[in-house]
Amino acid sequence: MNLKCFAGSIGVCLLLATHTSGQIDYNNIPEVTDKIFINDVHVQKTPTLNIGLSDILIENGLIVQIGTNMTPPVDAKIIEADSAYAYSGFIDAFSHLGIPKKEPNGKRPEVKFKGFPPNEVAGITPEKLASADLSHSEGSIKSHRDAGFTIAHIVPRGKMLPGQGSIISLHGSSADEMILKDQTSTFLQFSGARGYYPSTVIGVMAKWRDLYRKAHFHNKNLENYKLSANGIQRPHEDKTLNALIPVTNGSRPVFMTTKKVKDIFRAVELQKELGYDLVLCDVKQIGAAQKYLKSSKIDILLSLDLPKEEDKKKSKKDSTEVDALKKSMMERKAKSYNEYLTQAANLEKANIAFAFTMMSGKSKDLKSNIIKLIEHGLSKSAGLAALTTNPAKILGIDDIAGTLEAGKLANIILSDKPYFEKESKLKYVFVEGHMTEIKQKKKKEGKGSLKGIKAVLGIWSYSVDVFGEEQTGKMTITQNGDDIQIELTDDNTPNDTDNATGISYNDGTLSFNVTVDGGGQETAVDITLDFNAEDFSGTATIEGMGALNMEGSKISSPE
Amino acid sequence: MLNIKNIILGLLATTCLSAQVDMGDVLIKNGTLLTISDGEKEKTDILIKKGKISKIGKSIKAPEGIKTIDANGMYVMPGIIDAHSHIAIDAVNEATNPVTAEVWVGDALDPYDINIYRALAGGVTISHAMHGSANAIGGQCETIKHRWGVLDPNDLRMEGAKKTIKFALGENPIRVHGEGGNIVPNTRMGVEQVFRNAFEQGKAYAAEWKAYNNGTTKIAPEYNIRKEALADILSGEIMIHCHSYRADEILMLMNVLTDYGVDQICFQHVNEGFKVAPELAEFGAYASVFSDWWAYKFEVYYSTAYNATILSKNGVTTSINSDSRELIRHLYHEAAKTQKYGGLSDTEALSMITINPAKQLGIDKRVGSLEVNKEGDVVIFQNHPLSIYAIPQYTIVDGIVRFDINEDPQDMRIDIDPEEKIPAFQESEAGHNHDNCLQGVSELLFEHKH
Repeated sequence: MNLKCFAGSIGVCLLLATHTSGQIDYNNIPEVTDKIFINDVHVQKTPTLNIGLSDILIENGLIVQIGTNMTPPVDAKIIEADSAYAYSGFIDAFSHLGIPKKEPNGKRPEVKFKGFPPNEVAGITPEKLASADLSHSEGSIKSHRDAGFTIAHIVPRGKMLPGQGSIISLHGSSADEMILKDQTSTFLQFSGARGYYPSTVIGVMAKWRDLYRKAHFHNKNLENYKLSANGIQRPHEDKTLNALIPVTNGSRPVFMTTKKVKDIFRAVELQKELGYDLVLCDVKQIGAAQKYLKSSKIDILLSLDLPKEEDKKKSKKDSTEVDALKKSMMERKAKSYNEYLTQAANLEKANIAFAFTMMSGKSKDLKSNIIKLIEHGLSKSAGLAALTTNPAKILGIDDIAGTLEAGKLANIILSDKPYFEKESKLKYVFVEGHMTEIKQKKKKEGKGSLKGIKAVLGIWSYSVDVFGEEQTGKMTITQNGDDIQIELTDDNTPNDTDNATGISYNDGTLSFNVTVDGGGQETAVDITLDFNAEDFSGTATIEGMGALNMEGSKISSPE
Repeated sequence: MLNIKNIILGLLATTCLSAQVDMGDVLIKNGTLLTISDGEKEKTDILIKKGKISKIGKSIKAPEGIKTIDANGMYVMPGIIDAHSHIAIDAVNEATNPVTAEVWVGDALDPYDINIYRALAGGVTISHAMHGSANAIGGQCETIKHRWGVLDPNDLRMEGAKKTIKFALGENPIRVHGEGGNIVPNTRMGVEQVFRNAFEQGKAYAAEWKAYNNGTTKIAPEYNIRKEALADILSGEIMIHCHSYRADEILMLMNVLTDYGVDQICFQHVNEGFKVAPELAEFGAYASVFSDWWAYKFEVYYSTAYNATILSKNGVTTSINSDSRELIRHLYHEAAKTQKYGGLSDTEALSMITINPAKQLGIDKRVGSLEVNKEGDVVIFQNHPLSIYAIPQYTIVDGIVRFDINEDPQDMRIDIDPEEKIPAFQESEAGHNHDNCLQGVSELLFEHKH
């Protein structure tokens, strides 16, 4: 399957909400009391201080008291914690949580001149607010909360300057109710406008300088005019520049996506030149840019989307006939993997406070990924700080969040064992006193069931609707003993075969994954198809991007 | 436009520390020095200290602990300079507008580009990383030193080199904007109009700021980074390097520049330069050419391998460039072709890839010849560099050996993707069969094709 085309067309997309139906909205059940008493819990007050078994009293969404042998108020709901472990609720410092993906409309906007598109097309909308796009019923909010998050800093979706961030509480029956603080950041990315100015990283950087300086002079003119308007030419209002004035006068930080080391260097160059407060976001590779992170004007948010480790079994199988070069390349790759996973520990050693973010990556991998970082030298307390105190500080909400202390928001998670133990499970998450009990999902069977898969063996044609553009190819499902193989080819590149993994089949529904090359980057695609005798339909879901409709029909059965 | 920049920098009170780049010491013994500026010197030593040539002479005593290279029987020449390349940058064309004077490829340097190391293996120590030729007025370029191994993109910059900008004549801007976007320029005449309009804007902008800065007007003019750059071209702070082929257009641009008082330009490619060599010389224009590459599109059919010689003999400072990550590895062969086609002397031929490109990049006081106090950029060849048997042995930048043929493992990459497929790299481009100046433009022209 030629995912280059998928990746190429994605830009504006995507997807149908996946989480909203069929689930009870616990938010709308009135709570009997606003007092909650948590009895007998190990309290991790701060990342470094565990005060042992204590009780916690919550009232009106705040922590009222933490102490030992406290008497619960008569009207309080009592939670028997059974010596569970309490932590301050996690904070995701950078996310699109609760912001629905935009439906692709397939059509390109009509623009007279690609060199001077309207700001909307250029991706320059710094006046837009994440809070305006926030939908309280987005399913991602629940899965984030189930992972222990209670607060998130959210930014709008878009290109170069999508708009301003908000800090939200992960509970509330309306978007307004969720907003803790609004207009807290300006979100900037190196993303070009694909075919319109600015379309490249160099275009974006030049345009940012231009806008920033324009806003600076615009502000100066507005202020002069305010002082004395008589005889002075009236400066025009400009919503784009107005929205950037707080950045130029130092009252609002810039959150910038900088996944790789070169992005960091570029972001830091711009920051040094223009002077605003900068938060480097969704960072996957720090490399030699670490030297710039000591600056008081620069903070860093590390991505928890860790690189995938080489499949050791597979590489062993291959290693029988490797030449010296390939062997050394494998070693360098393993070393690089190790370097990526040691980055968090290195920041800790260098005394650079950082926070984690889930902008890319899945909330269900949160703990297992941090444990990997701990195995690579990060201390548990630094891991915890990166989810609590550090993001609170970076976001400027450390007066109300980040630690378990009286007076702060009652954002608390309860874990049956110390959180970073592999077997630990979250039992409750409190967001401003609102309790969610976490139901542990049954573990999926390790190997997918293949019962009845004989019915779909054969060669099938398929077509995928890539945002209005149809891509076609062949899917071959074969059985060899117990082994099922699925091969996908694209009609444009019939010699390029993708092999499926994680195959499972249940009562007419076949699901599997393929990893495809999406323009130089490996991209995981989850495919789920419902089969009839002669045809099938279903979806191909691209990691981090969305689901595409896929259908097909039988060409031939096995002989 | 310094005034505006000073205001901004002053207000924001930030300090940009310039990068501290490593400098090295090395003594090269008993080589045949091809100095470019002072003839050949046999059995001569050259000492580089703290990145600069500190001594040239016989039997120089090695200071204690200094790395010494025995160049007996080898040829030592200044590092090769490529006045036209697109390596080590992540973006080449901001092809959305016929005028993008504000963009700067120096923003997108890539110190991990393996082509830097490969260029070093061809003796090239400095290249001019250029914006592409999609736009009549493209972006600003960056002169880089091939300090392979540095991790900070800033460490590639050759601080103090002349600021340059890419212009383009002819088919490329017409194809991209006229045919691709149905706007001006749709003809060669249109390209001229784009220049004149842009210069008018730059001129008016400079005048507005001058009036504001001296108090004549009270409200600051609207800041505009593009006009800022255009004004800097007119003031001579930024020098034009113009992609060009046809003689008529070359004359046209010189006329435009004369009208606006711009007296510095380097024409790039300039395949029909031989037709207007006296005019180029009279203007004081530079020329940076291919040795013998032509006929890859209609406007380059009328070309000759004698171009470099003819330009040179007419008094035009001429260099030979690569515009290619492959060709950059054997610019010494390209220079040697001027001996086959035109019979240039060794020094004349080698000047085409050393001191002449240095002049075109405004760095000839610092590099381009072996002279005391110049920067320690040197390449050591087995066999004469103009011989077909020439093989670079060591390439030294700022006194640091960045390429050593004896320590040249197969995998010299710096940045390793932890999820890479192995084998990680396949050469996607076999030959020099298309115009590298149009990188990144096809998406714009053919949006729905893959």
